[in-house]
Amino acid sequence: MTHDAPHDAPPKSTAHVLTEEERKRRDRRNLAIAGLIVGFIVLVYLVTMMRLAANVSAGAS
Amino acid sequence: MSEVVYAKPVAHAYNTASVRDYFDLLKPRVMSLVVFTALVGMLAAPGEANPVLAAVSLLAIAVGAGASGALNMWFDADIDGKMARTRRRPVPAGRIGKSEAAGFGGAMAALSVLLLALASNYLAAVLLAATIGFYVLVYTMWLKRRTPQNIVIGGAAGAAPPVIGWAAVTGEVTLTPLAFFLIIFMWTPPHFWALSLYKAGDYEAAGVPMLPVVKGEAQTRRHIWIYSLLLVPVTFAPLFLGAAGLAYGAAAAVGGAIFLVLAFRVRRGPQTLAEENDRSLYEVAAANRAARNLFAFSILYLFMLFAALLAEHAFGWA
Repeated sequence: MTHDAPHDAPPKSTAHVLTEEERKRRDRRNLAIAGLIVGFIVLVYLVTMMRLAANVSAGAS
Repeated sequence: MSEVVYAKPVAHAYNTASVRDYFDLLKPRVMSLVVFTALVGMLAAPGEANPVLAAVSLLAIAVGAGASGALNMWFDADIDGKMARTRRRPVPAGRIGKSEAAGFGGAMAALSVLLLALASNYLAAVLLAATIGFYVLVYTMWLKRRTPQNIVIGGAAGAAPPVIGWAAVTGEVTLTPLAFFLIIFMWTPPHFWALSLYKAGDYEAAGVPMLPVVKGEAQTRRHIWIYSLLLVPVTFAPLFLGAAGLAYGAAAAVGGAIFLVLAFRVRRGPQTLAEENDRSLYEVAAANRAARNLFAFSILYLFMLFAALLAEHAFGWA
């Protein structure tokens, strides 16, 4: 058995180290995604409530 | 005897896109025209719409249009990278990956259709889904690279927003929104062919069979003139359908007359145009001014027509 890489020396990490600018961009992207998801949830909730209210009042009259 | 072989390290393509890049993916200028024409469709429609639900419907139509743009940029990244006009877009410039653009566009398309179904009705949602599908599958994937009639048939997608807006309010499609559709549908070919006359080299380099590339300048000028002659009478249809008043009539008459003069100048213009591939859409050589003027005025013309409709229906002048 031949192992070129010893067990106590894992291969060098290839992970990208973020620059300050990249980190800021990632944070802004994440905030935008969070804002969009929250906005979408609020919109769906509001629209559902409005449609329900309209249908209930139409059914009552 | 076995040997452990470690995978070769690969360069990590990290996402460097800004929020602005994702916004650009939605083609905001096209989206603004879609919002504008869809709003006219909604205001011209008979009946009262809840203002909040109408605003959410308009937002859904806008997002649907943006999703179409993102999916178009995903599929066309290769040809966008070859054209001066489009090579700085987020995907060909490498700021957003193709799969990200596809995922973003697909998700936005699905959400926009669901939101429209919730805020208005199923007909409007089906029309929006069909429009997105038509733009992406029929225009982008099928026609654009195959036929010089690409923008004639594909123009149907750009013409649909007022119909969707009307359907969102009324739940049906009648002759009036179809007249609005026809105006944008007939306007699209002379608008894009005027541009392609002085950007033909760009399209040729990208392998897009626009009319000047395939049939030459003379045929393109003839087609522009014929479509212009067909367009101007069509713009009067809303008057005959009782959906427009004097302001619109004046805009259609004056705008139509100017459009025909500019189209005629293109028809009679210099027979060999200069290459403009690296210049902006509006700064052109003297030989290209007639085509540039028609292209620029066509935007103003369509804006005038729909702004007149908007004013008439918003203020009750129609």
